[in-house]
Amino acid sequence: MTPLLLFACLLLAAASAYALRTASRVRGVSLAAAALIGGAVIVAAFSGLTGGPVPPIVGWWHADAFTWTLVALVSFVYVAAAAVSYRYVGVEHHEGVLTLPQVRLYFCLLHVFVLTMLAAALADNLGVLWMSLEGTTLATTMLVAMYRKDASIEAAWKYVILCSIGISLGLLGMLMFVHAAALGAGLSPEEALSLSALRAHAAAFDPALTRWAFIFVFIGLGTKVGFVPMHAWLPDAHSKTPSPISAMLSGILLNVALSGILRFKAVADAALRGTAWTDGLFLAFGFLSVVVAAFFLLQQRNYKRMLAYSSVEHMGLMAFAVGLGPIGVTAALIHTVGHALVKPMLFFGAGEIMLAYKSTHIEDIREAKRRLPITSALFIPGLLLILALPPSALFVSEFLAIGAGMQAHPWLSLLLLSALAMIAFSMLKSVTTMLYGEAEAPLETAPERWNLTHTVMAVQLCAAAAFGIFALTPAALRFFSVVVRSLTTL
Amino acid sequence: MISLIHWNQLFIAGLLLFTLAIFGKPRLPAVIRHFALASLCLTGLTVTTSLLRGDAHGVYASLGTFAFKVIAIPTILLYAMRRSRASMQVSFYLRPAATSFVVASVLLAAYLISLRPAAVPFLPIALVLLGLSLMIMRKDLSSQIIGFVTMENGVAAYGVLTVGGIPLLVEVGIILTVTAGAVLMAVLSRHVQEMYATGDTERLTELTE
Repeated sequence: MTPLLLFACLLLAAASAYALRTASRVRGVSLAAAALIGGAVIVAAFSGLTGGPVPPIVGWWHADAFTWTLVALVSFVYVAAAAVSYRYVGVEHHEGVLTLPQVRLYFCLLHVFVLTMLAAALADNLGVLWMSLEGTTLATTMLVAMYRKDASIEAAWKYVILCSIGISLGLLGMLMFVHAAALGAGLSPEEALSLSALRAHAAAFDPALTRWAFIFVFIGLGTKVGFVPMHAWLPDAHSKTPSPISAMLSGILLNVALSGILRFKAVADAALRGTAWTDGLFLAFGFLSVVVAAFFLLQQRNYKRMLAYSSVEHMGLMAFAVGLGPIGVTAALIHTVGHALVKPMLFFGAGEIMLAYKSTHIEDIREAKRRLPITSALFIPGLLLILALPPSALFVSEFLAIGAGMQAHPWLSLLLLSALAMIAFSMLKSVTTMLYGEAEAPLETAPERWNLTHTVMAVQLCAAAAFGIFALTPAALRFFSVVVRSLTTL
Repeated sequence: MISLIHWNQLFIAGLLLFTLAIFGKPRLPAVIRHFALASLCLTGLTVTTSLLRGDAHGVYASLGTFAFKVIAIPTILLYAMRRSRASMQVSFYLRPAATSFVVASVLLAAYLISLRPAAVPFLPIALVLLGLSLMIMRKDLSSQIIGFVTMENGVAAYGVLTVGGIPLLVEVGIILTVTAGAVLMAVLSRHVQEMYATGDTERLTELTE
């Protein structure tokens, strides 16, 4: 499946939401389309990763080991989110929370959102990369505003304004890279718009112009990643969106944005003949993101915001790891995969809690273990995995990152460890209050039944645990060293 | 007889001056009109720079700038404001003297930045910083949208003055994406007006921690 054919299929799936008459058909066809398209892309990505036959990806597109990893993750989260959406949107439509036009808009934008993420992951042309990243914002803004309440409209406004500013600054940075390529390497604008060409000719770039270009790209795309202090939109948007979309925003969109920065880091490192300068930026913003997220988590009263701040923390951890050299980059990649497998699952669980209690405030959720035994039984191991307890892949990545950090920046790493301990304490305290805290009035509800969301959560849990065990093997290190090579030029 | 290079410089001056004039306008229609005039100068800058370079495709790209930034975005913004019966009065955080001081500081900062790396022109950096300042100094939703598209004018000016020759399809794609963003912001600002009965961003405090 070539990129253009893939995008055509996704557009067809998006259009189908407006061609069908009933909400159940819209949900069913969307799920079937997601399973078919997502499944085909996952197969192609695994083929690409194992050296098998892949469709030609040329021109404005490029695929290396890192791209295939990202594409596989996007597709996995897509299929999972489409399955959970089938149930989640069905319940909300049945309860009258969402109308038929809203259901259509939801599923149409879901496929467009995935299209923009896949385009961003596969893009080699800077213009296409920028349009795709801005497209992710445009596709999801109306999803953030879906419930049309005060808070969701406010969250959508902050989201579109802050992310659009960020992405505009990112475009300025990208044009500066093109300018540097034209001045230093004599490339024509058309040639210089290719990321591969930039990497190949980076050694000839003017270092001062490259630094400015990278600062604009870092700040611009970093807004989309949710680095502190550009993160203000993230907890609002992730907490006000329907849960399956929150899962996609937190679980994979942030990684897609970070991948854009990593591509430019490789160019900047080659131009500056060393990684020290860009590493410093990653270390500073990564450290700040983890520490600030820790303090916000300490006083968190909303469980969806808690998960959103946890994403700020994890993106910070990935950035910190990237700033620690090749071992750190390996750790960051393992962390990316582990986080993308676990975080969506927690948001799916949060969605089940939301459907049952009609509230996202921690103080309103009591005795969830008794009222939602299946969801709780899946949510608890998910929480332990996101807190990096073995066999979580995040344990391996954090162990590698902190180990490398202790050698290079011991005091900073110790402070980071303290922040991680604070985060673990805060999240465990909040979740145990929700699961085991006593309700003021006795709860009388029908027993919870196994549903599609639970199946998806169970599959994700198994996948996350299996990946955690795989991450401990030499085969994993061999695999990730290949991925790291596709990300570095030095 | 004014030569092409003089027209080029005239458009650079016009782009900066019309953007600066936005800061002094107390009513939204005037703000939007000045943004449209600034965008018209950007269109002229694109045409003259392309002709000076002998690059014909920039002339076609300028048609996109004219259609979307001079006509479509201002029209859509005015339409959205009238539909939501928004107040046409702009609300300021700063007094005029303080605003002038901030604008002067921004221009000085842009000048200093343009001195540092090789060949980064003053105009784009100034426009990006002015757009950002407008978003910070004004309280109303429409001014924030104008601030965003002004920033985008700065980015486009950077592309025109330094890069040039970007494939038409990519350039049109970028303009379309920016327009889609501005339309989405206009739609959302209408929702905010309907929900809060005001376009004052200070009222958006539901989600503060």
